[in-house]
Amino acid sequence: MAKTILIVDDSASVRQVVGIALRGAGYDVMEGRDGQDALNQLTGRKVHLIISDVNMPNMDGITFLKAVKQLPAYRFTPVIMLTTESQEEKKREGQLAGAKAWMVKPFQPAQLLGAVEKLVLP
Amino acid sequence: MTTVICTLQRRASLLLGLAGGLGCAAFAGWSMAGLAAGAALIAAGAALAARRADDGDADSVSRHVDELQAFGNDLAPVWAGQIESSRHQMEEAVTSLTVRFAEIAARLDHALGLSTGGAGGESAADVSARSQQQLDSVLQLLRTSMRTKAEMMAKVQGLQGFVNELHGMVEAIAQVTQQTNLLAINATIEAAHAGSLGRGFATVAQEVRALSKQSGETGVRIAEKIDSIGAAIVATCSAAEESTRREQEAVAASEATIHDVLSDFRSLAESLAGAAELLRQESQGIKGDVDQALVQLQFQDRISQVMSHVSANIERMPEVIRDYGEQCRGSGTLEPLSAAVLLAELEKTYAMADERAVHRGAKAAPARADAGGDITFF
Repeated sequence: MAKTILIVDDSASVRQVVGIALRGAGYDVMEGRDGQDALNQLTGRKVHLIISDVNMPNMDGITFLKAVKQLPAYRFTPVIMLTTESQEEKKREGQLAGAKAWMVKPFQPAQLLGAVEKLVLP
Repeated sequence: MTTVICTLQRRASLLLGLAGGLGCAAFAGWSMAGLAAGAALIAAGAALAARRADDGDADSVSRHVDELQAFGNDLAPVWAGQIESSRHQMEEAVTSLTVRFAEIAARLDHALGLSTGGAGGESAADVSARSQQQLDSVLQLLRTSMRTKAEMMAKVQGLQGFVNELHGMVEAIAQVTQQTNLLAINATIEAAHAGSLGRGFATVAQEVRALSKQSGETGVRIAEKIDSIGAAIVATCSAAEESTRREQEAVAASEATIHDVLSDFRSLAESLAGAAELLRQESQGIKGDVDQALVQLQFQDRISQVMSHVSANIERMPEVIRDYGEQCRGSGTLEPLSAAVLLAELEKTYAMADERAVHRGAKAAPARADAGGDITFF
């Protein structure tokens, strides 16, 4: 059975590009338009990995990440932050909130898939 | 009169700033540089107006501040609205382009899979090799059949030897018959010499002669039959030899035809394989380009963020002008209008190194397909 990955980004085109790369590699994909929208979708379905943007309206990626870590069913779900943000202090903020990796956009699909394969839950 | 002239001069300065700002922004296609130049000209216009108002009274300060606020209130929403509208249009267009490119990439993947036989299909070269193998098997069967027939013909030709032996036996019988007949004649003569005593013996001798004659006639008939069988064997062998010769010619012709057909088919297969390989390489090249285009399209996200930051900063402008107006009204003089507050707020919103660099006055770096992708694992 295919593993499920949740993509959270306010940019539809980025969700598309990430989705294309992941579906091409055989993953099932869920999409959230921002942190709040994504949080609403975490209702018990097994999610093997989350890929989230940082700067988003309604709920930013770091707040979303912290909220995910409070959910018992998802606290061990690995999260990759995929963002244009490259400042070290932001990265540290993400690390402290529980992110497993920090990737700067624009990304090469092969690089993203490499990180996904490394971190995705069995 | 002096007050009227001063007011007109202030308005002219403001209009100069406004026109210059809009001109720069429009000329630069709402780019960051255009907006920055526009803001600088507006600030310059405001500063010029402030200097001109130095000689004015509190009323003129208040009027100037009101005009400046009206200017900010009128202009900022339009600028911000235009930027947001452009951002949305760009996002929709890029999303649509991304979907199209993704479809192209998926179709190229499918085509590549088919051209390499990945979908379970055989390549033309495989079909050619398999056909040759099958036709070789058919030729082998034909050759085996001809060998079996030749062996059978050898056995039939071997019967000719028996016919010759039978001929010898018939000749021996004819000789015995002839000798028996002579013996019977001599016995008849001797019986005649014996007179009445040889009468019985003469009868026996006549019977022997009759039997000898019958044996001779039977021998002749046997010889005739043997000749017929011999002739039939010769005719059969001759017909079979002719048939074998024709079959050998047919097999040789079939072999040559099969060889020619397979050779043509192999050439065609090689040509098709060459074309398929070329197509595969081209498809791979196009797919690589499409993949890179998908990476390039991610720059829309970066541009969209920059536009959002600038738009939010522009929306803040009327508030900053209002605070500035309060400050002027409080002091009763026109203070210089500084962009520092807005610039500081704008800087705080930056997410990307490019934005910070441009803010510091560096040139915008051209978008590169191989940019980004830096990953840090925690």
